[in-house]
Amino acid sequence: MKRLTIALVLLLSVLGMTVFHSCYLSRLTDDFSRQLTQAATHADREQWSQALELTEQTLAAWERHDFYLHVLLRHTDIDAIRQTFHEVVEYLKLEEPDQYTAANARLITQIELLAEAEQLDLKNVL
Amino acid sequence: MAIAFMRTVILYILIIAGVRLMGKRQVGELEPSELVVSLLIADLAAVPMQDFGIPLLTGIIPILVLLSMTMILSVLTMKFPSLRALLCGKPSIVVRDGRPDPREMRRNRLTVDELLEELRMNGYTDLTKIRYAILETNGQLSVLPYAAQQPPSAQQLNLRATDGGLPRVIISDGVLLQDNLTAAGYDTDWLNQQLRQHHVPSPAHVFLLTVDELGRVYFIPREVDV
Repeated sequence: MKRLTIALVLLLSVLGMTVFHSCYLSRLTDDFSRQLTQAATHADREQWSQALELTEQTLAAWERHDFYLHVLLRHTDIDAIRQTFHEVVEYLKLEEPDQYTAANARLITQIELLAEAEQLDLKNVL
Repeated sequence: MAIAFMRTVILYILIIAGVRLMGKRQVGELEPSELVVSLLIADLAAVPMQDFGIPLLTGIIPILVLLSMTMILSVLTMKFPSLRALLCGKPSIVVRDGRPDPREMRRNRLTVDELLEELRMNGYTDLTKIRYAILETNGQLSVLPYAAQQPPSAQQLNLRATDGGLPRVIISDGVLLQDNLTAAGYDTDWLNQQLRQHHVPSPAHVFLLTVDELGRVYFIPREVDV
């Protein structure tokens, strides 16, 4: 009975932690996407400094979660997002609207896909 | 990560079902669930070990899930014999009263050649001497000969046999095992006496020295230079 309890507790703990991770990652990436969309709105209005400030804040927040992201997600995905982040920041500094819009859209998609790939749904399981 | 969890659960169930369908002949000495865990864990551990771009947790989580499920299954199979029969199968009597059972053999995908080979490995060349041959759930064949074909025991022959009990190793390849010497109830004086009797100066000159519960000593000297 003790062995059964230990195994069940372990199994349920792992399931709980993985589901928590999916939810947490989803909330985290939603925040990043919202901030980047907001920065894009500033850029549309040619408020480049506000857009740059918001994007850099988002990048700083992303880097604060670097350990968590590297421990739980594929490193190639994380590195690609970081690379696109720096690309977006540079386009903002150069005030290049076309390049910035394309790079920012790519960044938002990459971040959204990151969370989507971790969601516990039939599509991902199969 | 939750996906890794769900995938591991699905794959575990799938592979257990697959191994059960393969039958006992392929299982070897492991139970189906043990074989599945051995197959999967080796592979799961190898992937994050080689690919540094994958988090270590993608290997650890499935391994934890597999071990937990194996533990749960082992407890449940102890409590519910029907579940054990479902997961591990039941022993099959493939030879009964000296005659092979073709239906049971077919069910276990056991050919006549394989049956005869297994019987030879058990020391039987003549089917008529066998009362039962049972294919166990771990794939091993147990052979029960007719009573008349079994070697007689000392009791049947009215002989008095002495039981020496478990022999303890006192010296193994030149190394004195002090704990075993003490546990056997002897001391260094007794050991020195044994060494003198066998004309060796020290334990380093002994390859194997054992003593059983009746005090019988088995001695082999070491042949290499010490």
